[in-house]
Amino acid sequence: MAKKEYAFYPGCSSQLRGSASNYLTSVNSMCEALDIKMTQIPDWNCCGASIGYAGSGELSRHVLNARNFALAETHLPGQDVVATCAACWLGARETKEKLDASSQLMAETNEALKEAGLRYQAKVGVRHMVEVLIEDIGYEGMAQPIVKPLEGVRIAGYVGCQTNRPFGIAGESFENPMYLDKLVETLGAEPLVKYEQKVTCCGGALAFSEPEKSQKQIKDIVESAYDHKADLIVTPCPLCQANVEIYQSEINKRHGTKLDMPVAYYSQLMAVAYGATPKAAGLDGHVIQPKKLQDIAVKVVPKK
Amino acid sequence: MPELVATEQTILVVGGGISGMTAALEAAECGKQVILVESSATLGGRTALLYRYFPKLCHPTCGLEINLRRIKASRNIRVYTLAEVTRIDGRSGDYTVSLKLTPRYVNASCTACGDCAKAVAATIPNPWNYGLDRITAAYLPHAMAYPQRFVIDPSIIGTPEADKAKAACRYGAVDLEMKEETLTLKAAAVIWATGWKPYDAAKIQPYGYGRFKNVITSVEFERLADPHGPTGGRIVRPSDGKEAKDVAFIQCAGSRDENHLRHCSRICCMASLKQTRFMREAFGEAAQSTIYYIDIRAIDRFEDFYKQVQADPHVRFIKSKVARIEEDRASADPVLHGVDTEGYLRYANRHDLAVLAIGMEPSVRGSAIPATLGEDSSGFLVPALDGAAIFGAGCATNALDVNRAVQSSTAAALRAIQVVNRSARAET
Repeated sequence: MAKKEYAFYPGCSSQLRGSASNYLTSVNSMCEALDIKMTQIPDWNCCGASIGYAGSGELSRHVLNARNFALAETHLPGQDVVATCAACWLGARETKEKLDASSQLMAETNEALKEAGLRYQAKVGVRHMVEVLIEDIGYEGMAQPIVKPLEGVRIAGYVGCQTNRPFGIAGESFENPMYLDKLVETLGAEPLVKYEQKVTCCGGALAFSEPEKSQKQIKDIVESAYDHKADLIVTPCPLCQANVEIYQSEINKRHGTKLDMPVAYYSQLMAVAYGATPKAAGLDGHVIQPKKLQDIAVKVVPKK
Repeated sequence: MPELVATEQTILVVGGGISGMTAALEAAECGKQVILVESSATLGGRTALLYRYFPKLCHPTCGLEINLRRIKASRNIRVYTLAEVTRIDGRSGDYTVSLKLTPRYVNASCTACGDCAKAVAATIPNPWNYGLDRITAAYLPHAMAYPQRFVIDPSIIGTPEADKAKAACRYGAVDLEMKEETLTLKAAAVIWATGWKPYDAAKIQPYGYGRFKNVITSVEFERLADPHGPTGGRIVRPSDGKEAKDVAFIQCAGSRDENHLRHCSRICCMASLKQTRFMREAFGEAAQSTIYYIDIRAIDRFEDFYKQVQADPHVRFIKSKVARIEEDRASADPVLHGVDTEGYLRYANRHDLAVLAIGMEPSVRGSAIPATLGEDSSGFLVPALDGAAIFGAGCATNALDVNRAVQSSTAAALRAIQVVNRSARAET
């Protein structure tokens, strides 16, 4: 039996051909090495991020999340719901806190779920993958499976907003969260602790509607990483990853800059350190190639 | 070894800062027996750590020195330093109090010659300078310390460093065998005057205290300005030791904020106004102070002082709650961001040094004190409703400046005296 078991909520960005499908690939490799069993919640649905906030009203957004919780409680009893996407976690966690605090909202939600033959019993915990790593596995535990320490790689830990505010990772500072730095250090790479754009907004969904404004944000995030001589940026959020990586070419066109900074997920760093192939670490899913990680991933090391 | 050192005529005063000293003196000079208990190694509290106090810009030596002289002259006061009250039992007029005495490792033979400090090499962060510098682990807290007796820091006990201190003492004053003691005594009334502590500035995360070297607190600035402080009175930047001629004072740092302290800490506006005078004193025409404020609360007779500072062309006032501070990477200058509400103009102002006018948090907040006192939503003590003769005084009860703390302590002393008089009458 696996060391830990969770009800996995991958969210839309991790789906096949989604912008973060390589995130899912790397999470699978990482979890295998850590002996974590992630079982997808059967028939999971949208968390209601972005669109849900814009148009559908509060109750329907909570019903969407509560349906996922109810499915997890039914099919995977006793397992925490774990999201890898920061937006999914934020929305789901908000729903859980609101429902657990309001018997009326709970009653209305369950009234709606009844149509689908489901009932949310407020038993399930809702967590981000990063919380699982820090709280259940621990930094020491994360160090265990390392076969290829990421020596000499300088990494800027870009936390973004959604795993940081309003809930945040327990015990972390909002302005200067350290968990990515600690994780980077655990993996044998060099954390750039003075990187000051850690919690800067990447523009989020405004990347589509307000490209100039969001690209200004992204420019700051990437240029600061260059200032600190980073080899790559690491993030826990699929939207941060997509925005910060993809728009660098547009920024280059607009400003005549030469930004070419890879942006990877924490899970990719871990997968590579644990000996995954470039493909298994999802390194084939980037617009800007994470060269340093690829070099390490193709290296052959004797088995532990 | 419990020994009886007091009768039910005694008043116990907890806390040896300006409030506790005042309460003790007022009661003692009315002929009452007083035991004054202080948890640190010296009387004087936070007042002793000021460079000057407002509004007359007197040095604290002035007020404290006369009080210390009165304490030395009084036969009615017994002082215990490094002592903590751990338990109070009984009722009004008849309390039994337990004291825990922490060893100082230096006995009464000490002449404060300082030979032990010269012999010891180990250092500790200097609590009397808010950790801005280090002192040797055998030390006299500060020039005004009472008792004038050295302390051997517990961190070197059991090491060769402690033996060096002992060997250096010509008076046999260093006693490394001292143990923690418990003392039980009787008291008719208790005055709780445990004062305040600066709010933890690191909790105001957008200001970067602890992350940015050139963001300090107002109490630290006070130490920089003081000739007895870590820089010998030079107002310099922690990052590079350069003179800080352009200083931002950020008001309500922690205070009047539901995320931090709910209350107005009352002293911070005057403290910053006062500190602009230190700037002028240090740098003359080259001084530039900028005060970022919500509103200036220079209460009642302090208005004059405010007017004088306002008239100074080297002091600028910006009506704004600073949103965040970032650090300029090359220069380590703090850059303040926010909106000037007079005109709704956004700013990004660079300064040499940012001083957080830090809020006042009651020392007792969040700790279980062995006394039946209530607390308000900020943690300040409110009177007991059960008829207990345990009275709050000074900053333990409210955010007060020195002047008001003294008034509050005098009032508490009178309440305690009344209890003693009542119990004395009941016995005769």
